[in-house]
Amino acid sequence: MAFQSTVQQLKVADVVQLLRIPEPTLQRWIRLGEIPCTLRNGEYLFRKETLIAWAKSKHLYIEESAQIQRTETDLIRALRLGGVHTHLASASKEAFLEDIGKRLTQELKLPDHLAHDLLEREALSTTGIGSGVAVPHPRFPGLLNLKDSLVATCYPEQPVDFQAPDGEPVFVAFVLLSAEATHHLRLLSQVAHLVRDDNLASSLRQPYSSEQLLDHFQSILAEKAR
Amino acid sequence: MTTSNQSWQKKLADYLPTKLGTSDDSNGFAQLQSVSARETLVMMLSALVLGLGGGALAVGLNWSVHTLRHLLHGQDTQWWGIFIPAVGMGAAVFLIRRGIRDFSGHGVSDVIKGMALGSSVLRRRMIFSRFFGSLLTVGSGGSTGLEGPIVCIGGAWGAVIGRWLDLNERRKKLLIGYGVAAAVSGIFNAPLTGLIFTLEIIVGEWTYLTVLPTIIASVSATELSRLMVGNKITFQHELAGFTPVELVACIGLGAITGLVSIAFIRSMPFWEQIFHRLSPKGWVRATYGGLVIGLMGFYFPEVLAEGYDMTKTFLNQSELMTLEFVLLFIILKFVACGVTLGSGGIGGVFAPSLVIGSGVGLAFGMVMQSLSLGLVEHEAAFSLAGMAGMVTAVMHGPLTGIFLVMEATRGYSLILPLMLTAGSAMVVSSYFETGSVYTRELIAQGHLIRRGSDQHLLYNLNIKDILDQDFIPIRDTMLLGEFVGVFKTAHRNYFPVLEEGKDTCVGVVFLDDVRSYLFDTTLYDLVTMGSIMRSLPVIDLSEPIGKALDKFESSKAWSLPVADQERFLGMLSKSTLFDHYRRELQIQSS
Repeated sequence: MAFQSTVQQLKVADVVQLLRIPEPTLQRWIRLGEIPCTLRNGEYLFRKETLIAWAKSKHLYIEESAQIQRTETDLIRALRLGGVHTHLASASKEAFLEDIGKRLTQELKLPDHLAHDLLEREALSTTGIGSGVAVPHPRFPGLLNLKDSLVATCYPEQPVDFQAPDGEPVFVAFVLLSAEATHHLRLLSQVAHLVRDDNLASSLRQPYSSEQLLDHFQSILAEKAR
Repeated sequence: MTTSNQSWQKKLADYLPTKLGTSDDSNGFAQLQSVSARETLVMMLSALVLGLGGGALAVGLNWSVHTLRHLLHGQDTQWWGIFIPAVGMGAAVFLIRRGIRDFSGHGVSDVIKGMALGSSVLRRRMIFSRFFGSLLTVGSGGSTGLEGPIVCIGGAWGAVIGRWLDLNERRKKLLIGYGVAAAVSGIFNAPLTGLIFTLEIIVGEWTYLTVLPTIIASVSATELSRLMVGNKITFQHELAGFTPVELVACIGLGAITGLVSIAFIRSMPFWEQIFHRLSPKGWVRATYGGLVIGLMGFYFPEVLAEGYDMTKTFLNQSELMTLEFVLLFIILKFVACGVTLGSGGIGGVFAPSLVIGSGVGLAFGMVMQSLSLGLVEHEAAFSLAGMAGMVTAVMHGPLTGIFLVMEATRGYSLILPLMLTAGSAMVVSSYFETGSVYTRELIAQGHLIRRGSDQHLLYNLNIKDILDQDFIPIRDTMLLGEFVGVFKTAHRNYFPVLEEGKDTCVGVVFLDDVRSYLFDTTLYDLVTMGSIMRSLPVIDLSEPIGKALDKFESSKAWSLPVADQERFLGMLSKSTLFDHYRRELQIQSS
């Protein structure tokens, strides 16, 4: 192509996204001559700097950096991201959560206030859901600024008393760290419903490797779906 | 205020009903018409009063300055003449700061700011501070003009009358415009220029309430000035028609004046910085500046004061001039004006623009004449076109430039060269600068807000007044089970979440996010509101509404929490905001 330039040229589709307007609106602006653009080979082109300067002069909001697109999450994906962690401290509920915070902070590179956040939530009410399972989560998940939701599977050395409704000591904790409000509810309800299945609950008593656990969950989910 | 004055104002307020339905007329439309007819009448009468007063002030200032210059005439060549501008300018700034307790702005920008932000910016003391400030500055030889100060005096005079009549803000702003028109018409003996300048530069709005009374103010001020000092033609000139070649040359002249004006506009902050480094005290800076002017004036007295005498010489005795002299004059005038204004002298850029423009025009004409082998004959006529070009480019007002020169020379035959020069000057100037010398700073501060513009509409909306408060705030520790009880009674589908034990809003729970889990009883004791809320940006009451709108855009939310220094006040919804925005637009559009 003869035309070569270092200037970033935007097309109609890019501008539609940048200004967040419907395409017909942009077409109308072009037709009315409200927006600076050039016509080249039957296609409208916009110089990026010019367009941004123009938008600023009109006090239009421009999406300069694309927002992080959070992917739809499902439990399997979140479990894979979270991983399996074994031999955590089990002297008390607090020691267990403290150790979870420490371990996850190290291994998953999370903010170091995680342990504090988990304990804060736990102080409000227990996250034990019965059958020896707990779902600890932070008081304000939004503060972690996660890109993806994750569920970390954590086994204490010995079962820990969580003051769960059924009084059973907790042998596995699914630590729920959600990136969005809607993820939290979906993951939480999925875990809660799986755990209600007594077979599953007892089958979890053996610490699985990460891959085994995922396979196991996947087969159960597939069965449920059927 | 005396009681008789107050009863006066009451009568006026009765005459000018602000609300419909206060008169006995039963027909609503007839009533509205009678209100607007009365309004026009009152505005026209006020414009007449403002015109006479503004004209008198303008003539008074002009006469005082010329008398003072006349008294000091001949002192320039004496050694003590060096110190006269220093004494004058130092005294001017000292008097304004200590005596009148005003700040020393340059004039026109203050009036434009008053039109944007509210008439209260223009105070009565400005009449005195600008009058005596510019009298001392220009009278002692400061190289600047009276037009900036007189515009400010006229605007303040309008605001004072508006406040005295206890008019509403809209009418006060109209009166400011009338005052400005009167002052400009009075000082130039040019009613059309006063009208055009006011509408183009100050008001920026052409409706019958801005145009008709402004004409009255301009005409009455001009007539008063003619009665007092006679009908003088500012720039007497033997008028000649332009040949086609000369007309084409005007386009080039316009481009050159455009470039000179850019240098002029951009050099202003430079001079201010230099003098700010010299001393923190205003009057000391002005004294230093005056000393520089005095020295320049000792060797080159032509740069002192307004410099219109030099322009007149350019126009009528151009044969006495050499190109070197004209160029030297332009450069020295440029520096002298920068020093005078940069050091804090009270004056405007109007006169210097005209004078520099006439010099540029003459130099251009001389060069053209020597190059064109006889095709260009009237080199002095170019200095008129140069004036129009320079004024246009400096204040971004082509109409002002064209009509000022046309009226000051009484020369309709010049209209073509003036239009061409002003047009090309405007193109070049606005290519480099989005704002004029007056509006540049205001644009940078975000204060250039015209009535009816997006900014003005938003500026008039107060977040606090349009908050939604009929929602149910919930605590972040609330369990889903408890929430089910709350949402049944709510008629909104979002719930602001406050942190337990505090007034801080930490997020918002949306019913849509929760809906499908509301009847899942296993989650009732497990889910707290803090874990399922969305964290949204919080709008602070103190921030401008434009910034709040940006937060709506970036979060893609329809409703955002508003706080006053962390304390949660309510929710602001985009739809309420635009509802009020449209109402404001309906009110302000004519």
